[in-house]
Amino acid sequence: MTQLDGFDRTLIDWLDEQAGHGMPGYLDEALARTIRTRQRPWWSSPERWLPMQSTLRFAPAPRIAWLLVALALTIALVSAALAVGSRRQPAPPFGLARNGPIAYTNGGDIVRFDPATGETTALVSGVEQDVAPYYSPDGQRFVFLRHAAGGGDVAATADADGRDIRILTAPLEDQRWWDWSRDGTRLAIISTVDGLHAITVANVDGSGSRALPLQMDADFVSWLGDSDRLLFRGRPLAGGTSGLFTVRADGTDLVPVSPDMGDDLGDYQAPAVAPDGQRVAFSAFDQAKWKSPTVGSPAGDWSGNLLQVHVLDLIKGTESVIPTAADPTSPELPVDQWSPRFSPDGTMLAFQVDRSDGTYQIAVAPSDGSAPPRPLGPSARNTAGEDASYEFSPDGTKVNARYPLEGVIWALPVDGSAGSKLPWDPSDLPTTQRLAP
Amino acid sequence: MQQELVERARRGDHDAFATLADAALFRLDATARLILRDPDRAKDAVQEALVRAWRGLPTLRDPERFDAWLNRLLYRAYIDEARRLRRHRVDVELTPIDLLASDDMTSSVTDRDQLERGFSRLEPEARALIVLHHYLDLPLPEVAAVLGIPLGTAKSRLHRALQSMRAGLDADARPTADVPEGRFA
Repeated sequence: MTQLDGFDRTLIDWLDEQAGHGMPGYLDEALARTIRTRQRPWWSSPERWLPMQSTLRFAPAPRIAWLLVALALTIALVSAALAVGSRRQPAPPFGLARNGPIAYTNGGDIVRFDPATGETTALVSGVEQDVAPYYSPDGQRFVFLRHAAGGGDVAATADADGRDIRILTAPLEDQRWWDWSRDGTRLAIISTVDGLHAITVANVDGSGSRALPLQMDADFVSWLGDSDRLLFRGRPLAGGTSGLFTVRADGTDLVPVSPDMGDDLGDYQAPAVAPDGQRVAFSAFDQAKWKSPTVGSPAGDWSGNLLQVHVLDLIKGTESVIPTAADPTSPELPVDQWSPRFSPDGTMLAFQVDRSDGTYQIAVAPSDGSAPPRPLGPSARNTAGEDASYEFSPDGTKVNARYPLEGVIWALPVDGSAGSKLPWDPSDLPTTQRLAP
Repeated sequence: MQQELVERARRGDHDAFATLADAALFRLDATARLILRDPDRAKDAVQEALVRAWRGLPTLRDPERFDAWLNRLLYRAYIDEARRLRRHRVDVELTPIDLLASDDMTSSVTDRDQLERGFSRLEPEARALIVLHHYLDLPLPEVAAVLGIPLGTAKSRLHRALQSMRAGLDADARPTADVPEGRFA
């Protein structure tokens, strides 16, 4: 039993006194919210663990089948030769590209819709639960999360036609973030290891993966352009506040790249690296003044903590802030802007705009801060406990956004014109294949 | 009994979830109010945690770990709430729902004021460590699991948080320099 000193006893008594003993009166209110909320499908779980099945067993073929096998091989060789001849050219690793087919999750399978032909094709199907596809920068492969019955949550890849499936990792808990290296040969993964976010680098040829021993909680990892370095948000286990760090992909040469902003809760949220690796956008709380463009002074003057999107130039060391939009629901108040994502050419940012009435909207703005944000698409409720996810299309003309609480996916033109609702399973954000321009 | 309710709730039985929520509500609310120091924000965090719990129940691996899982969801919810709170940060006095009117009060008014100041000066994560360990009486390995930090880190941060509170109390208890008479207008 722990020996309590006088201070401990006083503290415990004080906590007990402060906590009170009355029953809160908002149970019905809370249950009214839960009953309106849809439960997640079990396979979307990062916490449901099953052992990995990474090998296939072949039944012995009867002798008479050898002729058929030979025939099939011949057909396969001819098909392969034709496929190589007609294979789409790889897209450049960054910059604008042509929009290709869209891959998405459909009931535990990966399916592709090709807008050019209107055809829908199953890419990965079978008894395993395969979810969350994400194309490589050159568009030649995609990674997905495999949850096999009797298996586990592993990162796997297939080529763009769903063939050549490779298991990349052992089971990893709570895989929540992936980033492809620009050459498409490696994948950086954030998962939970011993209760901490950790980076795993996996070889896409299936030859192995390795968790980086960083002695810190490491989140939001991105490759720094086409270099061998990774950028991430880290919080040292030894104490201190969160910051941005870079490290070589083998876990050596750890370098802090950001000043300590002294705010463990709000600094360096959701950093995203520009496609060329020279800038990083993130969100942070700033003590700032803000003046409403629609409400005159003094009612429109506001001072306090603003959650703003910052862009840090990693080469020059300079930092800029994206202008803050007015809140259409409370024009006298600024909004919170966060979770930025770069466009493929790095000229634009998409981010989430949280408003005073508890709703949010996706907005875009030039990444150099030269113009105010432009809101896109519908507003949505911001209470689901799961943030929206969004990314630019390869050609940079649209932002595909998933609204988790409403369970819808929208394709939102960045020029602010009307978007279109995509008809697919909203469990994950669809991914658009990059094609050579 | 609880395990059966969790299993039913995992399969979509909202009545079973309501029973679980009812049983957990006081603990969740008290914990959140202690950490966030604001009854309204605490209510928001608890409601958010319950919504996350309902949504995520089908993904819960081990129904026996429901309480620990719920604690973790609540911790994430009030860290999110604290993040939002920073935008309009105000130091709101905690208003206990029902102050304990005990004849055996162990702390004086002065002690309570000093504890209040020392506790409020801590960051939310440090307050969470103290509340989970000293109020909910969770063993440190479980506190570490809820906060998503290694056990050694939980130990050292709890030690630092308590030290910080003690230092604050000591400083508050130190006699201040006398104010010369006649200086006040």
